[in-house]
Amino acid sequence: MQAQEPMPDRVQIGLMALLLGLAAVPLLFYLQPAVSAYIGLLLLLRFVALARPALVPGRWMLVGLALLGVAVVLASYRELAGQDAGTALLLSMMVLKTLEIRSQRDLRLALLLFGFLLVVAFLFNQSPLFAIYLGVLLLGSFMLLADLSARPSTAPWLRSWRPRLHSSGRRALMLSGQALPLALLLFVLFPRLDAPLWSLGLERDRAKTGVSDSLELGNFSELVRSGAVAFHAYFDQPLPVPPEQLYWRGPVLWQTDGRGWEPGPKALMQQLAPVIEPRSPPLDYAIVMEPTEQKWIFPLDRPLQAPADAQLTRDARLLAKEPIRELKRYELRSALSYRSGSLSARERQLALEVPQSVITPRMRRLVNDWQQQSPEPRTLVAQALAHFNQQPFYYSLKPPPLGSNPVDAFLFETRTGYCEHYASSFALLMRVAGIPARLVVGYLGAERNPLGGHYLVRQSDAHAWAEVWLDEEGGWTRIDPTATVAPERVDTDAGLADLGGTAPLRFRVTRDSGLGRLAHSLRLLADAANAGWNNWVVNFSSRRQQRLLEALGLEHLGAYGLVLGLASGAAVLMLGLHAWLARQRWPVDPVERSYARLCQRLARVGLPRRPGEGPRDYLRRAADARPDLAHALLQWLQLYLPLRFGGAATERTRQLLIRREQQLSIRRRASR
Amino acid sequence: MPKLPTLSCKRSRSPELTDATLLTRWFHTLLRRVPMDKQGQASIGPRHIYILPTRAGLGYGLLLFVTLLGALNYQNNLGLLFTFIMAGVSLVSMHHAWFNLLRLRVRAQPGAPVFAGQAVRFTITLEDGRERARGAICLRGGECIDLPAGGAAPVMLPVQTQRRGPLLLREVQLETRYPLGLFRAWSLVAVDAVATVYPRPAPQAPPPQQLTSIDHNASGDQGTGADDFVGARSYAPGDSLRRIDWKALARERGLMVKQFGGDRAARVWLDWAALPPVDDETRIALLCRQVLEASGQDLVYGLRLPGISVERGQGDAHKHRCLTTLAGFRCED
Repeated sequence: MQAQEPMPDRVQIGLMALLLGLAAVPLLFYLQPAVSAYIGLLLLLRFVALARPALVPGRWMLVGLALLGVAVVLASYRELAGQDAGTALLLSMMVLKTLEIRSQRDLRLALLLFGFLLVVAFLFNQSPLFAIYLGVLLLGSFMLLADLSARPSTAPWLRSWRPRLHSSGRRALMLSGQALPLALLLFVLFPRLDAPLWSLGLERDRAKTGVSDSLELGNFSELVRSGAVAFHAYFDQPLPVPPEQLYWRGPVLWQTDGRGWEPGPKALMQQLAPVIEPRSPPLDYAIVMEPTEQKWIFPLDRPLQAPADAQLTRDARLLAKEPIRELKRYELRSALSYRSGSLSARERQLALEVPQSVITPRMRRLVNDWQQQSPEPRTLVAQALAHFNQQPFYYSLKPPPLGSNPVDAFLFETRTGYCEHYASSFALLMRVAGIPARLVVGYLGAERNPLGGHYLVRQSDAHAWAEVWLDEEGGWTRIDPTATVAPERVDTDAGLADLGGTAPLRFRVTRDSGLGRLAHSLRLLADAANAGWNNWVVNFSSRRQQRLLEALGLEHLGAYGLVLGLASGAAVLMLGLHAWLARQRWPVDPVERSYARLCQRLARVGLPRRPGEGPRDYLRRAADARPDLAHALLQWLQLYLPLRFGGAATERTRQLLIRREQQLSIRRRASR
Repeated sequence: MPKLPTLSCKRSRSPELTDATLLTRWFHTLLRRVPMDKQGQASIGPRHIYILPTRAGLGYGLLLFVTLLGALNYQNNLGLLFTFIMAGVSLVSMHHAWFNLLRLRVRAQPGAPVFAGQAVRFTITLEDGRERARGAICLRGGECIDLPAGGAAPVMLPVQTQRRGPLLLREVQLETRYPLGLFRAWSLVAVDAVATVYPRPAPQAPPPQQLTSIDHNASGDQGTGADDFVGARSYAPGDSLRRIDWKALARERGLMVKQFGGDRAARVWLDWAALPPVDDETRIALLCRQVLEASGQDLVYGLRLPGISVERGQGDAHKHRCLTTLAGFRCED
């Protein structure tokens, strides 16, 4: 049907290659080096071939290059379908396609795939900067689409590229601007899925971050040095405790060999949680987890129930059903004070197990001393804590090496360490004393971001504490021996100072230098922006849509409310766009403008100009219909015709015409 | 003499959709036409614009569907946002395509006469009636133009001809894929323009009757005398050997006869009845060639057809009259 389409010219092919190259650059970081090299070399060839078309490979060469590309992807990933391999293949073949653009149709196809690539790229990164970058590229693709549909008959290669790109760029901007309200409406109201319909196995293996489910003495120090965000917390109500006393509960560790700690047996711990009796009003809040590739969710100690896609275990760990691969929001409910359920015999046995090889006589002596003073468990715990407080124990992120029996060396020789040393030696001592004890790993404290109103928990807030079973206290009781270290013995120089603004608040690292405070404020600002982005864009979910409906009082409509809002909103926006595009414009020529005004005024009194009716017929018809205006209208027509259709048109007649039109009073059926 | 591809005359509508399939042509009969006003101008109104996605637009829709499903399934909100931006832009571009045709004024001018087999070039004038610049408006079968706000521009519409006779241009199709090529808006616009298609001239024709039946009764001198050399024509049996142009023969121009005129130009009748008894269309082709030659030789010539004759005359207007008579002779309606 269509006449032979012209070949896309160098500008169009060059722009396509440029867009693709720019989209590829950030993705190359996520792909294997061999694939990146292949894509980079092809892009280089493409750009060189723009200047020297003889270098464009022939058909067989292209087939060879395509096979090579598949081979490179296969060799790098051992598959073609996963997220990384699939993206590598898509990108490779698209870059190859730019070497084989033979028609505008080829180029349009490449542009379609480019749109797909942009969407796929968000599987790798969802940061605001990346989104803006890809948004610019999307605009570029509209620009190329606009350029492709500009007048095909004028040979485009005869026109220089600058005005072309200018005009198509303006068109792309205008269209995007007009489309934005509709896109935002769709974004806010389009119903979301709560769970995936299918899984293509597009998950990627990424390094796990954050705390792990086992503890080796010394492996916390890396974590504590990281200022990275672990999660954000959002409270609906004021906090009942100071933020530095918020214990965020993670893995619970039961088994120890004296050096490291491991979780309890799976079969036992997968049992459902016993009913917990809260002793303080429950606290509702939400946390937004950064991706960790692990299942831990960090609720406040202790969670009362599990959200839909997670489960609460017997030892009060909250586990997501799938590893957390992307930013995820959880609505949680916790009680800060509680009575836990019963302790089974198996659990008691586990919580009292002591690796005999690491228990030295002086450890037994220490415990015996405490037991002789008071055998009651509660007093014994208090004595242990007093021991850590009164003896010269130091807090330092750079503890001296501990040798083969770290607990003994820490307790009696170096007496310098951080949370995991304190917690693990405390728990071990309690077990020696016959009090069931276990270790909890998580985060302690949170910093309020005054800009976002939310709380920020960093990796450097990672913490470990102990829990002991005290019948008088109603079961498992949290004991944090680290907190008992006298503040003057916290070694702020060793490691902590390096953290600067991201050091946990509880260490009270001084930030008195103006520059440090400024850096801290900037970091909080960036965090607030990022959290807002995550909340309103990346993590916008059906739950948030529901809240929006609630705010509008439409919650009883449910998903129908969304569809209703979507349909009516889209209709209003489209009508608005239509009206805006249809708005009347006045002619530039004053004579024509005067005629247009006259037409409009006559239309208002019920005499609209018929389509295709010329001024002569129209005004004569109007004069017939309104004898009271006939004279003035016909006189005006006598002035107008020569001005419009040639003849002696002087400036004077032009002004006379406009004045007459302005002086003419047209009223609805003025005089009969 | 080779057999000519002769087609009888038919008052023919211009084949506005010659390349369309039967289905499309039938579909087009269902659509509204933009009517003409008394001045022969048509203004495209909102009810005359049809719009459908192009193939690229359908592909775009498929892309949006795939990205929508993927982004929904993987709960990737940014992918969803980009999908919606792309969807919004394509919807907005649909409105722009529609408005690009709205209130476009169309007028067709008659095309200059051509011989059958050549293309008539109608001039279609497009004028903006909304004070808006318009991009890439294409005349089906013709070219594409941009219009400035309030401006007007002519577009050539070549129409290939097959038969002699008047060629009527009843409608033209205007279409646009502006601004992104995802949608094609089109309008069928009634126009009224006509072009005369002369018969296809025969490659050669016997010389007119001048030698065998000079009109001796006409007043004034004999058309062809022996006084002044006026030109040369092809040899015909019976010509005097003295008049043969031997120099032309030596230059391999064929057997020519020198013609000498008196003080008046030659007067001839180009007569239907004088031609060999061949079929009508061949006779018309031969007469057409004779008209062209007579006109080229500045003869005074007239045309005699059964039932019609054109008085003898000279000049371009006369030639046009003769050829138009031939074009319309024995037309099936």
